[in-house]
Amino acid sequence: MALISLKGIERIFHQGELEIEILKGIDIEIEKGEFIAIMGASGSGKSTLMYIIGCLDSPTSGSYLLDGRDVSSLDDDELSRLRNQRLGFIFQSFYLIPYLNVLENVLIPTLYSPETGNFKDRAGALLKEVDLGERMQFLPSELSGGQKQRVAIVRSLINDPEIVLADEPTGQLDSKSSRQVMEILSRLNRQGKTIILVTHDPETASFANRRIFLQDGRITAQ
Amino acid sequence: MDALLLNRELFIVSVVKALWQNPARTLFALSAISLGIASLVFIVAAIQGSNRQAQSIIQLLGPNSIFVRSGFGDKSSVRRLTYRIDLKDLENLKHIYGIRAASYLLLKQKRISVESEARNAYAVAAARNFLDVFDYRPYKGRFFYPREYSSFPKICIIGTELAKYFFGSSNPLGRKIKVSRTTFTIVGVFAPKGKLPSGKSLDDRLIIPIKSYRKFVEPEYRRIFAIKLKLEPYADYDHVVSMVKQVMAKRHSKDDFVVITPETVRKFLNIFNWTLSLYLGLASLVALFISGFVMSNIFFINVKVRAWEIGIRRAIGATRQAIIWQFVAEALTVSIAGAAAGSIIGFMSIKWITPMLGIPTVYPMKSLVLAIAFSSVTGLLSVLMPARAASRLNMVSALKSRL
Ligand SMILES: Nc1ncnc2c1ncn2[C@@H]1O[C@H](COP(=O)(O)OP(=O)(O)OP(=O)(O)O)[C@@H](O)[C@H]1O
Ligand SMILES: [Mg+2]
Repeated sequence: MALISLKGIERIFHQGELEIEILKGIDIEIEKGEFIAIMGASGSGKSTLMYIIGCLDSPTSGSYLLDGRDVSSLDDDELSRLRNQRLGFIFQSFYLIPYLNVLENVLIPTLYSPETGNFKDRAGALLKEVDLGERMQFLPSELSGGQKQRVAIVRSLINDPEIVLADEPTGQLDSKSSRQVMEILSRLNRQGKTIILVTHDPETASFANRRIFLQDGRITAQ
Repeated sequence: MDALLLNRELFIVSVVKALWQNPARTLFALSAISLGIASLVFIVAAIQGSNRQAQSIIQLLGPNSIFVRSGFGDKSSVRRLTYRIDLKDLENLKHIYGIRAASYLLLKQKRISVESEARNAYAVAAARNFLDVFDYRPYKGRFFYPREYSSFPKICIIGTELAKYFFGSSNPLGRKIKVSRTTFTIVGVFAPKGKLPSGKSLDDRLIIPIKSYRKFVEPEYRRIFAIKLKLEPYADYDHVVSMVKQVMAKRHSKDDFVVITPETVRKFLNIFNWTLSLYLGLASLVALFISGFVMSNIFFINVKVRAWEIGIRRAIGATRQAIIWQFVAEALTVSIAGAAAGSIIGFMSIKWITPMLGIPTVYPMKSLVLAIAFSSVTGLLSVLMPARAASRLNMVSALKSRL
């Protein structure tokens, strides 16, 4: 059974009188351990789809099974728990909390985790792995874009999720930093994480094992 | 919440740093709440102070006694203070059934001097039972012997403040003191009686036996300032009071005299206190309400500005409750800091303002608890709606709000 199974996912936005159908019936299956890139032009609905997979948004219709479980049956607290424990997020604009230092930012997901443990040591080890061992007390404003994104990656990993969702993770980075970030994601994938990458950039997408294309709210090529 | 408690340290750090991040906003919320709390603290002090004042007036009057003070006739002649009651009134009141003792207060401000040192102070005439009825107690030396009330000895007893003024720490007994042009010998010092509600001390007075007073200080004394009556323990207090009023009314108009009893003082001050509490209580509630409103708005701004932060926290697993707790904790931190700052401001205004109002200065320590309680409640109530709004933000649009 697939880790993620989407069937007939539709997403309609209402803007006043207007109904805009962004996703017009998406069917995808993603297996555990896959590294998949969702591609498409700007405005094609890639992020919208990722938010649905990430349980940040819910589809207007269609079914979404995660590990065989119908996500629509979960309440808000259960969805929060699911995002906290099983999903990790990386965004184009990092979303590091500006008043917290690197270590604190990385530890924020543990604030919402029922687990106890020595998260500080874990955070330190993960930060070392992405060459940020010396920057734990820095504020986000004192970091370069590439460093910020690596902090965000560590944050997404702190609760050891199975799935990492990345929406244009290299969108604000130069090519060298982009490559670094993508190499980290590849390594994570080799270590067994399922990676779902959203990008319009073919070079970035080339790190994935599978690519799907969105156009006019439908998947046009697999 | 359980998860937040497990990571208490990070939670607290996050709350404090969030407030620190925008000092202007935090300071604004803080000053709003602290001004509300300051007025609350001040009001508690004012009420306690006036209560204490009531107690001291009642104590001064003594239990089971009635004070009849002269009025000053109709209001137009206020500046020419001529007393309206006299010794005939005392004679009449003395015979009311239930009265054990009666005496009168006759006094005049005089120039008092010791050698080259001089100042103005009240010279008080002491009739035979004056010291007893007015509850004077010896402190040093002696009071007057019975025969000294019927001869004209040039002796006096003085209050502790007067003693201190003229003689410092040296012994005043046996020393000479001049009242106008007559020299008296000090034979005693009376125990401190404290202050009048007006703040005037009762201990910078000088007491002279009545005949000497009439001969050497002030010959005209038919008119007197006040009469004090002491009741028998078995007397029906209210009945005696109404009799006193009746007897006085026979010779006087209503403006001529005031009957003061511990009960009337208590009643008056009760009403005064009640009105004060109500009025000031309302004022401080309004102040707290306004500060709550200001704080609420600041938190709404906070939620709006930090929407994306809420979005990312939700994305990485914060429940709605966790978001609410975060803002509640921020508000409570501001509230408690505000309670502290407000108490300091309140205590400072007590120090500076109550003397101007003629209220005894009291520092109400209990109001510290009240301050924390009230500011916490205000903080909680004012953050409730913004925190709820924060917890209900749409995650995706919250995240996008940064761009
Ligand atoms: N809440 C919303 N209400 C109305 N329209 C929306 C909403 N969210 C997204 N859209 C619209 O849906 C379309 C797809 O948006 P989405 O962000 O998914 O595109 P995308 O493929 O990620 O594009 P990009 O590459 O520019 O990030 C856009 O036209 C956008 O304007
Ligand atoms: Mg997008």
